Amino acid sequence: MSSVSMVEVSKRYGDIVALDSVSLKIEEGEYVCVIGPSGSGKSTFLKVIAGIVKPDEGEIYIGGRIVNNVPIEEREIGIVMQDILLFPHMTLWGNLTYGPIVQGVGYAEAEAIAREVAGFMKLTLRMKAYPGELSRGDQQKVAIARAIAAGARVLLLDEPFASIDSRTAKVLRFELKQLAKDLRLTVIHVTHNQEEALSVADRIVVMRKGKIEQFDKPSRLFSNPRTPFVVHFLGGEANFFEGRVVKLEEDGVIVDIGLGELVKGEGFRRVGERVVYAVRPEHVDVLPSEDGGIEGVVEEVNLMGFYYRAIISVDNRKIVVRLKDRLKFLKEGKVVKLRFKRGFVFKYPVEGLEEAIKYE
Amino acid sequence: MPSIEVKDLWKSYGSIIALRGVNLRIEDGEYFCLLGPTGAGKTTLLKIIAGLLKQDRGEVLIDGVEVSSIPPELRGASYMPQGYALFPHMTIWENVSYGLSVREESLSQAEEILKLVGLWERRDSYPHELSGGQQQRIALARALASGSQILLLDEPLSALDALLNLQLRFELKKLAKELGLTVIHVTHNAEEALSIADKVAILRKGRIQQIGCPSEVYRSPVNLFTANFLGEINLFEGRLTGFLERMCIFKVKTLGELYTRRVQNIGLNAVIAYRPEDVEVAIDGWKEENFFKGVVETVENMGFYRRALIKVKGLEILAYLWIDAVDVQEGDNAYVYLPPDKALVFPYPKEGLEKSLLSE
Repeated sequence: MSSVSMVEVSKRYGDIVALDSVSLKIEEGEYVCVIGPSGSGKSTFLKVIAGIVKPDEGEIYIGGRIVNNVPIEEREIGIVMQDILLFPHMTLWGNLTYGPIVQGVGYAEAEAIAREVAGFMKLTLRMKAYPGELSRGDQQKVAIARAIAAGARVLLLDEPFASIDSRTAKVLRFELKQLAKDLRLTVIHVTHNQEEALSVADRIVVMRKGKIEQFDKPSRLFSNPRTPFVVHFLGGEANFFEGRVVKLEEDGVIVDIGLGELVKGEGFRRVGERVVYAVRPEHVDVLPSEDGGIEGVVEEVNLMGFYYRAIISVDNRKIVVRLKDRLKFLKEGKVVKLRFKRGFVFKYPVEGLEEAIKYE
Repeated sequence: MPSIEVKDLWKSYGSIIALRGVNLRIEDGEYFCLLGPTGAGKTTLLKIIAGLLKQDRGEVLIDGVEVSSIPPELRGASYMPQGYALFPHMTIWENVSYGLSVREESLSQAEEILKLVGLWERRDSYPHELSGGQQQRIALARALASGSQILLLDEPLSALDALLNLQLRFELKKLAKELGLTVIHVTHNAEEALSIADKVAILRKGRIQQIGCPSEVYRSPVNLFTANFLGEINLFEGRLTGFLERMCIFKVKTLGELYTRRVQNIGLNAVIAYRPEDVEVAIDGWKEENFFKGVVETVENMGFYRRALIKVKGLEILAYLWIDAVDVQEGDNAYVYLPPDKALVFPYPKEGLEKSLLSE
């Protein structure tokens, strides 16, 4: 069994709180990504599970067993980092059989294990090669294979694809996810790349200042963000407003955000309460000036590849919009109307809006 | 004012040919992006223009003047290498005003630029007291305040994560425009280049593949490499079997007949390419041509779009679904429509399809 749990785990480095009473349970066979800005504690998160860093407080469980005092090599984990660590003077075969042999399983069994893992990872034909003869992507694949051959039931990955070009990384992450599912491995994968996390994770841990902001399925992070920070960190250029609730409705609230028109938002707060209203760029409809809505002027339009980004200024505010197609009337200097299709309403944060979504 | 012209530029390092006859013209005040994979020769080209490397053959003209014999510091170009370094023992103000003070020029421009990047209040701080994003901003400010009319930037944003990169890239372009600078910005990030460049050049193996404005290179790539490098793409190998009115008919293995808009001079064997955002997905309906039944293999929720992989007659077709597009789940039956007018058609490459896409 290989679920992973933390119960009120804290870790401080001097004045800096890297983990602030973190609790969660990752199920066996689950693929979990950990994301957050630099300094949010995501690496420490991984290191306390690995046993590289000892927590100041709290318990860590792997497979239901408390492992605070269990050394790294007995935790049945495999660690793969951005820097690829293989034995350069050994062939792939040597690299894959090394772990099992050291653990004393006997040569025949070590070879059987290596063969099976190599087969799973489509490395069978390259077993006589040395790491230096492989591309970086393939080297990282071998590093993962080696961890599995050594008996890891839990894979801990720290930015495994950060030094691999994005095309190769896209293929690798897909293969890795398949493999993890086939072998029922529990995977905890730290990444700075939100897209990577969204594409492979069953659930994502969003970290900020040593705390878990939200631990949820990718789709839920978008449909039910718990905090303004989650909207900001995962949405890319979301629009935030301060406002006040003016009315309650069956499925949300009506908010005055000072743009003339009242807007509707998801989430329940009291009438009169000061709130944060967040709109993702893809939830802003842009309409011709004859239509109703919030009036603005097009400031710029950028082709982003498969979509367009536009900045619309409304009074002194700049609103970011994402569009699938370039609309004919979307020209710099033109007056347009905006409508918010979907917005999220949050309790106004004690530390203030700016601080609550601060990135660094 | 400063235009840059590069004529038939060649450069090798031993047996490795880094540049193979590069021709470019960058107009005064233009924001020019040089885009390509690692090893394409981007940095070499930039360093030759800066005067930090000498070409084997060819000319570099700045303002119409051949500059081979002119030392770097007199070319009027400021070069910012990848992995910028601020002077750690100098304050922000000293860092930014350094270039101007060395030349005994007025420091008022440094003040103006620090205000523009929003870090004037931090002028007395030291680099280590700032966050990574702020440091990057200072490095850019220092390059902008060098007093040069030409800015040569090597991967200026690559150290930043997605959201900071997005915010800073537009800021950078705006500043360059306000200061009337001519900029060459090297990057391997296609989205970054497309979103800010006035013009983009795509470089592969030391050769320019295409030069054009962003929408031109994205919508009408000249070859398969460019098409594939600028964004994910579906590729079908087809054989021309006939014409129907204004359309070509291709036979694609297992898929069957594929209609495209009429193209000239393609030859019998072709590669038909569809961008994932142009692939339409429906759960019912009917179209006369290019309408295929398939099964949804995977759906990844990326927030403002979903990446859906649909298996059609043994082929995998990738579609990007915008937020308001049809809701499909893994295992669902779905129809795929490939609009004939959205097809990009290329002659079958002599070196083979796979090789035509490789970076090296």
